[in-house]
Amino acid sequence: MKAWLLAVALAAAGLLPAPPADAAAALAVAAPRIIDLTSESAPVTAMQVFVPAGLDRQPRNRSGLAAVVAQALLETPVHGTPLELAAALSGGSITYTVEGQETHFYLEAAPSNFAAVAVLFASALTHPDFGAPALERAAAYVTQRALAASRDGLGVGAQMVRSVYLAKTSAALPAWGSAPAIAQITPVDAADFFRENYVAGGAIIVGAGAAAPGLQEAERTVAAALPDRHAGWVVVSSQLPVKASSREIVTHRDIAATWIVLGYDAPAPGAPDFAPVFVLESLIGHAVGRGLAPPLVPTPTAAEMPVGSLYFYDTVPSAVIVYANGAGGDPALAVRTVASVVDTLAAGPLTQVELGLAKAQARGNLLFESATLADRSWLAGNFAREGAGADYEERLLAAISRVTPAQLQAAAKRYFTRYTTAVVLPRGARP
Amino acid sequence: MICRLCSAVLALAVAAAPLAGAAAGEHPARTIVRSASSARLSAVELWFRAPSAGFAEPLAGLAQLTAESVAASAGRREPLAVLVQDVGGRLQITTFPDAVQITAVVPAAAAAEIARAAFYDYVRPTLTPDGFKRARESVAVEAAAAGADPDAQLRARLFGALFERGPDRYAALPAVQQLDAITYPEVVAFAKRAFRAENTIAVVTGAPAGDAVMRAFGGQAAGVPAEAALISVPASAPPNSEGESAAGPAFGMAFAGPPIEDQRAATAMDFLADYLLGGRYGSISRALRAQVPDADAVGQFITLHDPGILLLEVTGDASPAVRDVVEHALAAVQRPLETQAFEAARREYIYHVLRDLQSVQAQADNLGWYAVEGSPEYAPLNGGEQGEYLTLARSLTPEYVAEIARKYLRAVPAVATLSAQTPAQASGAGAR
Repeated sequence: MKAWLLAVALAAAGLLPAPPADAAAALAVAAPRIIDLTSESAPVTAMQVFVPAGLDRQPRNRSGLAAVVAQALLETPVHGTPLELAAALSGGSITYTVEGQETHFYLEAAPSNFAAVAVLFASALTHPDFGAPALERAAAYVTQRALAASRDGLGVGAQMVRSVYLAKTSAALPAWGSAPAIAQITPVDAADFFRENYVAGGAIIVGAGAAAPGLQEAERTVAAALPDRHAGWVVVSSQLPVKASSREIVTHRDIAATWIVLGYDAPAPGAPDFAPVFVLESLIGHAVGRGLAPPLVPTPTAAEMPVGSLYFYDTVPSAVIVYANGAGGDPALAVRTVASVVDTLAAGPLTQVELGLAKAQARGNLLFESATLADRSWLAGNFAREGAGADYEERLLAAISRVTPAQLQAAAKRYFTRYTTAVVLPRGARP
Repeated sequence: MICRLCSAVLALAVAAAPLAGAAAGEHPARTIVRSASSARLSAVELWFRAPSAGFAEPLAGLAQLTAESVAASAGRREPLAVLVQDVGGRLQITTFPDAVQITAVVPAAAAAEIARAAFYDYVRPTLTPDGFKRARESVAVEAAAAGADPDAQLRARLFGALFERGPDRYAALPAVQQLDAITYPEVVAFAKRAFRAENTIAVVTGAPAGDAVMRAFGGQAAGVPAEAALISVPASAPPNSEGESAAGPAFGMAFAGPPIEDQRAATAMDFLADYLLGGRYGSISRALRAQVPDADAVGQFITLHDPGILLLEVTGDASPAVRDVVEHALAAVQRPLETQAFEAARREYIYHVLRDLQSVQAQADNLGWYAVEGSPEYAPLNGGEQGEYLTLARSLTPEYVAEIARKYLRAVPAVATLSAQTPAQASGAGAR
């Protein structure tokens, strides 16, 4: 009865739950996929656990539910001590990240303590605490993060772009939700979301780093803590992505300077055009960055850079963004520079020398994206989840080497001529 | 995954050669190579023992400006900064009170090429006025960023107050006005003295096994840097330092600690810093979360030649309540922890040490830092679980840690307090 009412309510709101792609699969026995990335040279042991409990499984009026559930899990008492603290006292750590189409937990510890940390995590998965006091604490923490995120100009701009290319599902909702929606979350919401989405079907466990005593057993213990069924339905919307040649969205936030974010639809990992667009993204970011504010010694984070680019391949569909931070110069100039760079790339092929440099930078970017165990295990799990394969990073490196000038030119024309412009202004400022 | 790891701290004494006759690669002071066949990134680092403010009359920022000038100068080919970018890598230049660090993280296949280029460029610097100009622009941006960073401001004030004389008194980055005072000839003179082959420690991590990288540095060597280790003299009664910050209120304390040669005591100070401030569950961090929720605390024990420094920094709030929390926590660690709490804290601390050694750059930083400070064997990465550092960490007892806390934390610390600038003050400061 409750499910029927929910379906009616969602239909009235233009939101319809979509059944799993293969309905028959829901009946089959589900098991997490286990990927091994152990390496003798690593000083610690790690495990990345993906569950299909992403933003896309949240009702739109419960924005923040995925994060509240993950946070409540971290605060679940294990032998009387909250999981996160228990992991720390055991010589390790447990963190989580909520993404559009999954939530992933990252466990890490000194090799000799890893198995104990994994057992703590499995124990919390088996007996999560979604009681009212626990949920209140989790909601308070997530609300704090949501408010902080609303003051991050780059994050807000990226979020606006996501709301266009991911408009069909809830995957574009903000990772930390919104304070009013979080206030509506009840213990029943949390327990339901957990029961439906913390499951073996679609889960992936990536073991990484130093081989630890009991690592394989720990992987099996965590896998066994996930019920062998498939996840609930993704919440879809009748709102379709707009397909105009370009569009502009403007918002205001409590920020010091304007941010402009340009968003381009882009191929997902595994697609034939992924490697050429990966090179283009790197090339445009470098070209714009060098042209506007060449840092002699580049060390800043993405949010500190005056201009830059990012490839959002954590979801299918995927996108590329190019951003400009008004605190680092005139963001309108950055936008004009991007247009000029794209025009040049679309007008003619690169020389072999230019192509060689572009490929080297793209390869370097990819390697930097897997510099730590957390990065490497996420990358492998994410590529596996998206169907490209856990070994896709290696194949992508090879594919980048094979990219031709003609492929780059074609990709520039195909993917970089239509875009969304998100403008995030300080309160009181005019576009 | 097959991974062959070989770590070598190679010992081959090499006779010093006069500067004029020094060709690139003839005699690095010390070469440390830790190769791993499975690594796809390599870190190539050059460390030089040299004061950030120069060898003569102190000029804040001289080392940073000089090091960046070399990276930006097109001598025999394109500048090193461009070369590193062109192979898909990233260059980072950092100066400390007593050392200069050049780091290039590059795809492993390019490690030997970049090692050769970096070593050649630094030990036979071909500075150009254009490179000097670009470096000034870059350092000005970094200096402005540091000026708005409460951590950097606190650190500058604390170090200035804690030391009566010596390199630790001076900030690594200059104020913008100080930058204008540094001349091209001063940069050239600093480069000639600081960036000598015999004053170099070369570190490479993650490179494929083989001798290509070693050849880039001219062979194997294990001497010590030509410049003597630099010593700063703590003030007997450090003055309190107060100021304003556009980035909001902040509070910090610094204590002089044991020298690097007192390894067990230095390890105990590392443990204490982690216990007080390590992650979310450091005792100060937890107490602040409960009592002063707007405050964030960070800190570390900086292992230096002599003395080391325990640094505690709180941003977001500088009220007396913050100072109370910090002083209460500092008093508490002067009594031995209960055995169970101590064992749990040690597990956390050892995990944090290992966690921070994951990337090739972190590994190179670790090996380079301890080598330039005079105790390469003491680097936590050296020897792993069986190495000197973790052996000492496992040997700590609650009583010994408390004894070290009483010895070093009862001294008068340097204290710095920054109050939040009002918007009017901020705009006035900007107009000056």
